[in-house]
Amino acid sequence: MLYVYPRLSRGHSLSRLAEIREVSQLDPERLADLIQFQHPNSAPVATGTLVSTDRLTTIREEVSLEMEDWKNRIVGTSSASYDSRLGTILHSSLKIVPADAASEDVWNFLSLMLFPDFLYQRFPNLSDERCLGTPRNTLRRVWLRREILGDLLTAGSPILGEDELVGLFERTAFVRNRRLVRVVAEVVLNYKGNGARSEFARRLYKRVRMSTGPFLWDVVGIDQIRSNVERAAHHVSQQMH
Amino acid sequence: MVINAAELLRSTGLLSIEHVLLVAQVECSSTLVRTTNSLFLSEDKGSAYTVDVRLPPGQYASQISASLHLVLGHDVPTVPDPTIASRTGARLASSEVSKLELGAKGSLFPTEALDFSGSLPSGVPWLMNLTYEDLDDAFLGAARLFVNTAHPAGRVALDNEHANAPLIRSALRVDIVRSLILQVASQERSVFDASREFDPESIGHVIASFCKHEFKADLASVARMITSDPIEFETRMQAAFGYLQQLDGE
Repeated sequence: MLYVYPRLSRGHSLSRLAEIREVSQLDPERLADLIQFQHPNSAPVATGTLVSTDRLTTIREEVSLEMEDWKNRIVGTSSASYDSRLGTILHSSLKIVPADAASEDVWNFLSLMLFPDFLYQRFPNLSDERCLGTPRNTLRRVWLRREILGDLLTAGSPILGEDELVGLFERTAFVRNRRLVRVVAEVVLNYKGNGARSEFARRLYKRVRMSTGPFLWDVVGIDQIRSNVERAAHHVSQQMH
Repeated sequence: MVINAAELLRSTGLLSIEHVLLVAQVECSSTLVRTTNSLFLSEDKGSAYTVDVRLPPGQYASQISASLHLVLGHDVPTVPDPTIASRTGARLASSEVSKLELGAKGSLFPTEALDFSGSLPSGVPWLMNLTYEDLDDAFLGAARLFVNTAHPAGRVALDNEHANAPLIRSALRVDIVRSLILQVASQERSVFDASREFDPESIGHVIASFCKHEFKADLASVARMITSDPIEFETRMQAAFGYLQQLDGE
């Protein structure tokens, strides 16, 4: 079963965010005290099964438990690992209707009411773009990565890094072909050539994106997509020698 | 869709329309989903084709874009000329993109009425908020006009029946445009490209349209004007928007 969530408008969210910032400056430990499962001005758009307060409580517990290892740790250079784990548990726990997950106001509610401490842990400056539910929101972007990449988000050694993921999601028209974007991610994860993998990825994304103009990859079978991407990868590898 | 087979063959150099796939594509920039359906053209089917696209429930939000494409449906290894499309998926033609709003708010300015006596600046009647990453981001998602219901001018701006509503709204419009251009000028700093074209209904597109219609100039020029010649900017804007011209009783 998938759920729809309460929505909190940007105006009320800015007020709430100011409160979170104030507490974070006084004592970040107290951010957990701000967790709430309701807001007097929030309401869902009733286009599906409404999430209950009990379910919200469970979600908070599930995410906290999964992220227990990170408690009191500084994310710093381990952001890819933190984000992939957070995205994975959010995705499995929220079970949100994808159309509902496209709402800024839904992520306003989830971020500012349920997970204020996670916002602070990941982005301690608590900027608007990371805390409000716009596309770069702390929770929204990692949920979306999991939604699109699935298990690939936690696959590979190393897993896909921040630069590799940002590059992959940079052009939304490209990401909308999910078969293509997954094949490209797989090819990056399997890269064993010379030079930094992130540089290989950057060049590969550019080459594949350029081909989406003359070709409509959506009608191409998965085997041929893989073959075309591998050919592009081979070309990029040659350039990097 | 009506296909002129002879014209298609003439303009593509292909020897048969049966290589060609008619693709209907529906996509959503909010949920990053795309759904397609297609059928091969055929000499036997006549010129009129219909392609249905069934959208999966719960996957589309805000706005959908629909388009039609003619592409090669399979590899054509024996084309007589290397300039003729030969690989599966090669685009031969694409239609204009049609957009459809899901929900009723598409044509309204994104406005939120609330009491500012919390953490928003309580002494002001309204506040224009713009949160975006790129000027091609959707305007409706990035922009929000907050109107303060605890401020007398904010209440008048929201009240269609109030005698002073036209007067107050003329000031509101000037404030909106000034604020939008200031925020963009501040965030973009010197990276403006005067020749840049913006996605339809994006922040850049909406603000550039304001600039084009009210200042007869591109966004880059107006953004420069607001810092290099703020008096000129203010004067032209007030004139353009009929600032405080409709007093009650006149």
